[in-house]
This record gives sequence, structure tokens and C-alpha cells, in this order.
Amino acid sequence: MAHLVLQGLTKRYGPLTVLDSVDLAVEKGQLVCLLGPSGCGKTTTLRLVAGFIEPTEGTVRVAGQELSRPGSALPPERRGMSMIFQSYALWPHLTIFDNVAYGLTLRKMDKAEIGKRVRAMLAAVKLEHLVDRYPGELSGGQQQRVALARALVVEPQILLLDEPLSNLDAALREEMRFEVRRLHDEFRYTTVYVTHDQAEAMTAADLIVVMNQGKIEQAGSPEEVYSRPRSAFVAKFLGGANVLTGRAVDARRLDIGAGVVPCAEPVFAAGAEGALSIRFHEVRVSDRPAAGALPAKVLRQTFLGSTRDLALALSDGTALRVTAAPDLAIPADQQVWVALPQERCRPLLA
Amino acid sequence: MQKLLGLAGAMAFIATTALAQSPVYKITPELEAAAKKEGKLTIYTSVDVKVAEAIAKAFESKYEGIKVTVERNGAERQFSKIGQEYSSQIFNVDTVNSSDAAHFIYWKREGWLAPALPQEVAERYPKGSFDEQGFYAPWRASLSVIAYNNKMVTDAEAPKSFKELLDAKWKGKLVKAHPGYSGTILTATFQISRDIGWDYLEKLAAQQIMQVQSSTDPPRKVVAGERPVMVDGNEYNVFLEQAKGAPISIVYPTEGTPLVIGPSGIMKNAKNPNAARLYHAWSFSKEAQQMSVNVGGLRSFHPDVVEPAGRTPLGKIKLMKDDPVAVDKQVEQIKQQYLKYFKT
Amino acid sequence: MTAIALNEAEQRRSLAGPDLSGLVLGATALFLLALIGLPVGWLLAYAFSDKAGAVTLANFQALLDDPTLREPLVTTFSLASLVAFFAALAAAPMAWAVARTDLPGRRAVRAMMTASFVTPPFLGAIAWEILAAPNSGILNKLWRDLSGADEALVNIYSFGGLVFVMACYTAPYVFVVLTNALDRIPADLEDAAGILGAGRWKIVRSVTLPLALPALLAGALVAFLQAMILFGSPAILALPAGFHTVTTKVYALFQFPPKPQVAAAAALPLLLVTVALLWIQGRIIGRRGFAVVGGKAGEPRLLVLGAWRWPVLGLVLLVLALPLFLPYAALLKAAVSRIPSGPFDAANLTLTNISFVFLEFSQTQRAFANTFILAFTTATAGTGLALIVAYMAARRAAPGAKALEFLATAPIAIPGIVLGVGLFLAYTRGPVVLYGTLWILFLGFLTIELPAAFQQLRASFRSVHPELEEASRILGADRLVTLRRITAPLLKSGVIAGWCLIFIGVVRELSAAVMLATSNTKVLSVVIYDLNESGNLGAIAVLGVAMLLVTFAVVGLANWVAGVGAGIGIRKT
Repeated sequence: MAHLVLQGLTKRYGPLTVLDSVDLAVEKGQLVCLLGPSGCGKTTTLRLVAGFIEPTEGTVRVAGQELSRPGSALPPERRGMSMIFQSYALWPHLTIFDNVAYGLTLRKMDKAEIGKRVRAMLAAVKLEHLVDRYPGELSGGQQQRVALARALVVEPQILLLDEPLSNLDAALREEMRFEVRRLHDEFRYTTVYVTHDQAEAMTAADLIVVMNQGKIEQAGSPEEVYSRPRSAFVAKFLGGANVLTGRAVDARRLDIGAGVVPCAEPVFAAGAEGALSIRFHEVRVSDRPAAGALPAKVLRQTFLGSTRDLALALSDGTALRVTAAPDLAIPADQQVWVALPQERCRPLLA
Repeated sequence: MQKLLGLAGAMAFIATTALAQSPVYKITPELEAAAKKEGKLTIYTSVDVKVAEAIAKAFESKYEGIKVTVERNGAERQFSKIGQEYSSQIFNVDTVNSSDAAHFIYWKREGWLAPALPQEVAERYPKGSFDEQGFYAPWRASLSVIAYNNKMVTDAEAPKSFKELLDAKWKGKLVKAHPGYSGTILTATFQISRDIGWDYLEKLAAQQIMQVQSSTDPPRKVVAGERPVMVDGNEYNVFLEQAKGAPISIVYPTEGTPLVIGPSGIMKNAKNPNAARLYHAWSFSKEAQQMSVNVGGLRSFHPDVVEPAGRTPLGKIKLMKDDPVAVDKQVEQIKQQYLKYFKT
Repeated sequence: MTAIALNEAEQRRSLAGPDLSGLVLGATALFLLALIGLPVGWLLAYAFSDKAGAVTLANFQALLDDPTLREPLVTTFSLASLVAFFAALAAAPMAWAVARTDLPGRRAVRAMMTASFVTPPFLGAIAWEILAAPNSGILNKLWRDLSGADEALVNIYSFGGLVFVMACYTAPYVFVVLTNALDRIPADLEDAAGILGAGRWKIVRSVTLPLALPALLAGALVAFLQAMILFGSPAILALPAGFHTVTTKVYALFQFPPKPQVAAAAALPLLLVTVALLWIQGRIIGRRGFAVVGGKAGEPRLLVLGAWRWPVLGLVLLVLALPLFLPYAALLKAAVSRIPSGPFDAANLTLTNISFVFLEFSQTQRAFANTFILAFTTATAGTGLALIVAYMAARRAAPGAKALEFLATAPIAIPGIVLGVGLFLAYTRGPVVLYGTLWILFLGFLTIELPAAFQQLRASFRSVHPELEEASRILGADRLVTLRRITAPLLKSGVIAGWCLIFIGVVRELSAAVMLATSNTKVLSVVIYDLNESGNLGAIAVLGVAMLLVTFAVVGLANWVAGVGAGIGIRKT
């Protein structure tokens, strides 16, 4: 049985439904990323797991034990979890040592033992030289590591991370992404990680859960979610994609107006409406016609250094975005031909 | 003294029946020992705080080991306070002295007083000046007098009677204490309204008087020059100011001067009954009474007490008659009437 | 790392101690409810009943019919309006000069205005008696000597005199509210006007003043409320002048023969007006005040006064002389004078006041002990209570937090004298009889001072990110432990400020104390009030100065401790 199980989890504030019947199972030692735009319910889910709020419907279970249900939630301090906050929430009146030791002092551990563990943990995050400093004297990245150390040192049942890297600059964020993954590989705590950044999710997660408007859109391994998006939202949110809609000719082929496009899997009902997605870089563009290629017109082209970004219109006006090789310099208004490789055209289920 | 004796007869207002046990007692070594064992005493009094503290200090030094706390309030406020405390079962006060003799009628009726008549009072004080059952005895007497600042007003200009105070030239020049606060002034207001009439007070109210609370305050205001003339106030405070060399002179008005008797008694629920009895008996001794006269400027009922030179003897002053029974009955009416005229 | 892993059983055991948080929070709510509900309930019950206890409206009828009851109401409202007007008139230019110009000694002026806040209004009133009694007052004597005139320059024993003294000691409220607002008006709003071509004074008139107007109104409202509920100053000055305010009337109605029913009814208009005004204040601040204040851009721009700086400073010092320099000088002089307003020469110089207060007067020691025991305990308990309630209010930690917030603010609407009446009615009978003990004073002071401390702490909570507390809870600390180990230290300056507010408030409280103190539980304010009734100004001066010295010392110490603590705690943030 899974370690953390959410069942029918719903949270409403008055008429507003923030979270709508979410089911999720996380295996012990897994790192799951809740990914989605702001307001999708991912932070609410995290706070429900932490016990800061009570569900309107549904339950939260850990190791088979029910922790939250409507009208009753074990308070956060009894859950044996720990959490890393968007603001890091380091206590400015305590030293780095005292910050990290805090959770252990609550567990009535003797002083020597606390000292040993705190130092070991600070070593693991490479901050052992800063024990006596105050948080205000540390850089953003260092503060982030202290927050990690403080959360990890208590050996939580479940580790919760709420957009932990969103306050860092781009370079530091990339470094910390790998750091989080490294520490997870080292300690193997069951972890729920909330982010709106797909790169973070891709790097860190064992399981990505894409959320939108209070619901789970799709859950799966990073590869699975990226390469086989099941909905237009997932396709667009994760990496960006063209979503083309039309009427199914048969189970495999879709008539998108400008032409009929064969897809990777046979899932359509003939005559019904359907949609497919194809990533920007998977579209092939040529200035010469080829078999099966659709004619299109260049609306705008932008040189981005390593790539070239093209905005095209198919013959029926359907817009298409393409990431092409940088040396493909085609001026605006020129006619081109685009090929949509069958194995890259993913039929969407929703 | 003869005159005071006669007037003090007014104190004999309650017919007395013989008690099963005589309330008469005197200071014995046993009483002294029991009092020292209690070690403390709380006096509620309306006499001037410095006089009260001086007499308390004399008692403390005579009977070492008894710590005296003096709680000084205006008689009327003291009366409210004791009422509030007793209705809440708080028995702070051991012995009480009030310038409003009517209070003792009330307290006796309520059964709050303990019978205790010092032998010296029973034997030496004028008959009729004290309660035969021993619930209270006249610890002090004083007069409410007119006085003026003799640097601001010449003796010739000074008013000779209450009626003269209604003259337009005194407008804005008078200071007066308040019967809602001071027992002395309540008593005096009663006597003046009885003997001169309320219309006098009504006209007085139109004189833009300065209204203070305690009857101890007008002499201070006159000495400070805040107002040249006081309409009423304690004679003894004027004596005290004179002793300090302050420019203040007394007028005993031709209509008569209100006499205010300030009895003392012991509370039945006193926490320190022995210390209270010791103090009570001592405070009526010649020693203590002479001190209250010399140091406090008060008048005494003790026959052996000698009036200091320079003070007009009581016998030479036309006095108004004290009538605590009537005051007890009319207190609310007096205050209402006063409020109507004086607005406070 | 696995070598130091806690096993799961160990984890659970160590985190499964009993959680008292819910219990404590619940108990706090109940306590607060009883604290305020009981006296107010009794007050209402009395106001609507006759002497026999039957329900009646006769007490209110009496308010309308009896001129001796009606006139104080009219007097009080005109008094409070005038006080608010003059307090605002005096405080507004002061606040502007201090906050928005390069006035020399700005910080000192601020500190001195705060000092005048510490001065109990009743002590200020007594000091002004010494200064401006029409004949013996020092200022009036000086005036006569200098001008040869017969008439007094000022008469403190008058309606106008009372307005003046009360305005002196309510102006600091307006000043504080206004300087806070002016401090926070961002410079770029003024710069925007400057770029459009407005001159310096034009900016002041068209931008700064309109922006500060809500704060000025709010401050004036506070002054109005203070003036309306103040007891000490009118008790000292209105009686010699020959009129009553509502508070002195309520007090008089409690004197023998007591009329608690009428007193309760007479007190209710104050309660209603206060509630109404607070509601209006909420609207003013809610709609405009915070919309402006709270912009964070830049230091406020200081107007360069240039040659005007010395005249302006002179004016400011002149205003400061009224609540501060003159009264304090008068008190100090009275302390060592035979006749308080007498000449300052060898003949009038004496130490008897000092020796009387400290050697003869048997109440001195106990009154000091009572006052500072009460101030200390009330400040400590009140800060704790305010902290818990502010926590619940700020973090919505319990159902009904909104109601608790209301309860903690409600005492603002209860004038001290009214609360005194309510507490007297509530605790002179069963089941809990507290009259005659320090407890009833403690409860009274706690109730009166709670709102100020609560508002202070609630504001402080806004500066503490909730995640700091959540981080503590998720690591295993319950709400109380979190409050103690994380929140309270972070709120340190707010906590100390709240503590000092209560401490000062208790020391200067008279109106409830005068209703509730008995001889064993007298506090300094009441002793001073009693001494004033018999005109012992010298003794009052000695007691008052001693009381102020102790207060300044304690407040200074508290702030020093806070300063030291802050230095250790937060170096850079």
C-alpha cells in the first residue's frame, strides 16, 4: 500500500472550490511534484497534507493511518512531517545552529546528540562553517540550504516543499534543483514538492502530478507526462506544444482543416471531434514542398541564438509555432511547407 | 466650657436602657498586651490628614509595636466607603471618627458599632455629650467659621456676618467647601439653613463662589490668596495656618457659628478590637485631647484641657445648635437643595 | 546518515504530548468574555431596573427630565468637541514640523510629547491649578505684577480652563497618530506634484495635508473619546467652577445615598457615543487612511525651513511648555514650598512636604506598593492576554476569532468610571466577591488597558510572516510553544511597547480606581485625588513627582532591556 494516500480530497471556501476531489497515492521514498499554474490547488493540497487546513471532503492517510478528514485533522505538530516554505521561514532571532536544532529540541533529545546531528546535517548541505551566523547574514542560496537542513534533520515521515526555489535567481535555482534531488537520493524521504516550474519538476521528481483548476490533469513519470500528454493543458504547460483540433477521419487520422494528419496511436472515434499535440521543435519546416507536407505562410520569425522561433499560418488560418534550426532564415510572408511526423503527433484524450 | 456643656446636651438623643454588661472600660496591662499582640490598627477619620497622622504617631510612640494606618477621607465620602465596604463584607476599619455626628446614629442603628466607653469619658466628660450605651463619644469638636486673608482685606472691611457675604463687593471673592463631601459643611449647611434660611444660600450661590470639597481646603485657598474670604471651613485649620504665621483671621459671624461635633467609635467587626479599644481610650485621655487642641487646633470636651492663649474661648462665641438626629433625617434633602442652588 | 535515524515509534511518542493549546485558547476566550461581559451585563441590568429590581425605563426618563442629570451630558459633549478641536489644532502643526521639516531637535520634541503622554491628566490638572488659579496662580500673579491689571489672565476653574487642560493632555494622542501617518507618506507622491510644477508650500497644501487628513480626523476622534471619558481633570477643575461632567456626575451618584441605577443609566450614553464614534473612525481609516499610508517608497521629504527654523522651534517649545515644562516646574516648586503658589524664596522653602510624604503619611508606602504591583502584574498579564488574542485574531487560529478581536477592542468603548461602576456591581456580590482586594483593580485595569496593547500587538503580527510559525508547527511545536519560542521573540519590540503602554496606563488610571479602591488597596492616583480634595498640594507634588520618576525609570529599563535583546537577536535583518 502506498505511503501517502489522498482520497477524494476537496477544499471549498464558501462557494469557491479550490480543490476538487483529488486522488493520489505516493509510494514510500518517492518524490512527487505537484505542478501547475498559480491557483491550481497545488499549495492547498500541500497544506492539507501538512494539516494546516482541514478538508471539506475526503481524507489524507499516511502509512494507513487517517490524519485528516472533514471536521477533524491531526494538528501539523503531530504529523512528524517537515516543510520547506517559499519564504524559507528561517527564524531571524535564532542562529543557524538553533534554527536547525529547533525540531530536535522539541523531541527532547539530549544536547550532545542534538549538536552531533545538527553538525552532520549542516555538513550535508555544506554549511558547517556558518553555524553561529544569523539568517540575515546569509545569501539566498545559503538560506535555502539551511531551510533544507532544518527540515531534513528531524527525519520526517514526509517532507513537504512549497515552491522552495522561487525566490532564487536563475543560476542558483538550477544548482539547487540538482541539490534537492541529490539530498533526496541520499535520504529517501517521501517528498511532496510543489512548483510551477516544469524544469524543476523534471529534474527533481519521480512522479509529476500536473494540476489545473483544482483537479489533477495527469500523473506519471516525467518522461511519460512530457512525451504522452493526455490533455491540451498538460501538453501546453509542460514544455509548450501546438494543439490542433479537427474531426476524426478514422481511429488514427484527424482532419484539421488544412489537411488530414495521421497520429501516433489509434484512439479516435470516426466522425467525432478530436485533438492532437505536437511540440514546437517536432514540426519540420522546409522551403520546398514534400510528400504529406502542408503549405503554410510565415507570419513572423525571431532569431533566438541557438534556435529560431517561427509563427506560421496553415492554409485555413490555423496558427502553428515552430522551433527551427537557427540557420533557417525565411523572411515573413514567404510560403513554406510543414511536416508533422506521425510518431510525434499525440492524440489528446481531453 | 459651661456653654459647650449645655450644647452638648444635644447629643443625648437616644434614650438609653441599661445594658446587661457595662460598656465602661479602662486601659489595663492586659488590654495593652492584647493590643500589642494584634500589632496594627486602621483608623478611618475625616480630620485633617496631618493632624490625624500626628496623633497616630504619638500613639505609636507611646505603645510601641502597634502600627497605625490612617485612612483620611471627607466625612461623607468616608461614610459612603464604609457603607460600600460593609455591604461587601469588608471590615478594614477598626475605629472611626467623623465630623458628621449623624453617621453614628446610622451606624448604631445598623448595628455596626461596638459598645466601648472609656472610663475617663464616663467619669469626666459632660453627661449627655457621649452615648450612654457607649457606642460613640465626642472625640473632637470644631467650628465652621468665616475667615479672611488679612493682607488682602482689612479688618474693617472684613465681613462680620453671613448676611454681609451677600454684598456685591464679595462677588467672585469667596471660597466654600461642599456638603456632599464634608461632614462639617453638611452639618453647618443644616444649621445655617435652619437658623438663617435657604434663601441665604440661594443668594450666596449667585456670588460666583469657588467651590472646593473638603472643609480643610478653604483656609488653604485663603492663605494662598486664591480667594480673600472663606464662607465656611474648619476653625482648626485656620488655627494651624495662623500658627505657621499665615495672614488669616477668623470671624465668628453675628448670626452664630455652626458647631460641629466629631464623635469616634469602634466597629463591631474590627479586626484589631484590642488595639482599637486601647487607641480609643487613649485618644480621650487628657494627654491626647490636649495634643489635638495644641497641635490640631481642635476643641475638646475634656474638662482638664487648657485652651492655648490667643484663641477665642468657646464661651465667648455665639454658637449654632448641633442636631444630629435632624441631620440624619434630612441628609438627602440638604444635598438635593444644595445641588439645585450650587449646581455641583 | 541512516545511523542516526530515529525509529518511528520514538518519533510518535515524542510528538504525542498533550496539546494544551486548544484548551488555553478556549479558556482565554471564555475569560475575555467574562471579563467584559460581567460588568457590562450588570451595568445594563441596573440601568433598566428600579431600586426593587423591577424592569423600568424610569432611570432614562430621569436623564431627560432632571436638569441636574441632563446638563452634565450637554456639558460633556461640548467639552469633548472643543477639546478635540483644540488638541488637533495644537498637535497638527507640531506633528507636521516634527515629521516633515528639518526642525532642529525633532527627535527630542517627539520624546517630550511622549513624556507628556506619561503624565497623568489629573496630575496635570493639579499642576495647572498651581499655575493658573485665578488669584493665587503663579502665572496670574506674574501677569498682575507685570501689567498692573486687576483681572486674572486665565482662570483655570472655568469651562474654558478645563478645555485647555484636557486639550494639553489629549493632544499627544493626535500627535502620535498624525506623526505616524506623516512618516509614512511616501516621498514620490510629493515628488509627483513637484514635477508638475507645484511649489513647496503648494505641495504641502495640495498633497501632504489632504493625505494626512484621515489621520488627523482619527486622532481628533481619539481626543474626543478621551475627553469624554476622562474623570480626573473635571473632578479637580469642574467642581470649583461649579459644574458637572457625566463622569463626575456618575461618581457623585455613587456617593451616599448611592443611586447605582441612575448612575448606570447616566453612564450608558457615553458607552453608546463611544461605540458610534469608533464605528465612524473605522470607516474613515478603512476607506482612506490605509490606502495612502503603507506605500513604501522612499524617505519622506523634509521641507527645509531655512531662516524659519528658529521661530518654528520657538513656537514648538512654547506649545510643549503647556503640558510639560510649566506643569513640571510648578510641581517641583510646590514640592518644596510651604504655599505651592507662593514666592520662590527662603521663607517659603520647606522640606516638610517631603518628610510628610515619606516619613509621616501612613499611606505612602502601601500606595506605592499597590500601584507598582498592579502596574507590573497587569502589564505582564495584559501583554500575555493581548498576545494570545492578537495571535488568534491575526492567524484566525480558532473559530470565533473575529468575535474575540471585537471583545479585546470593546473596552475602548467603556469609560473607566463606567467600567468601575460595572465591576463594583459585578464583584460586590456572589459568586465571586473581589471588592476590597487588589484583584478587582487588576481586572479593571486589565480590561481598560487591553485594547491598546492588543492593537499594538496585532499591528506587530502583520510584520511576522505566518510561515515562520508554520515552520515551527510542522517541526512539532504546538501553538503555545510556537507562540512562546518563535512568535513572542520576533514580536519583542511590539511586546515591550505593549507592556509599557499598559504599565503607564495603570499608573495614570484614576477613574476606575477611584470607584474600586478601598483603604487597603489604594493606589497612588487615588491617594493623590484624596489629597487634592483637602487641598494638600505640596504632598501631591511630592507624590506625583516620585510616581513619575519611578514610571520613567521602569519604562526606560524596559526599553533598555529590549534594546539589548534586539542587538543580540537580529543583527542584519
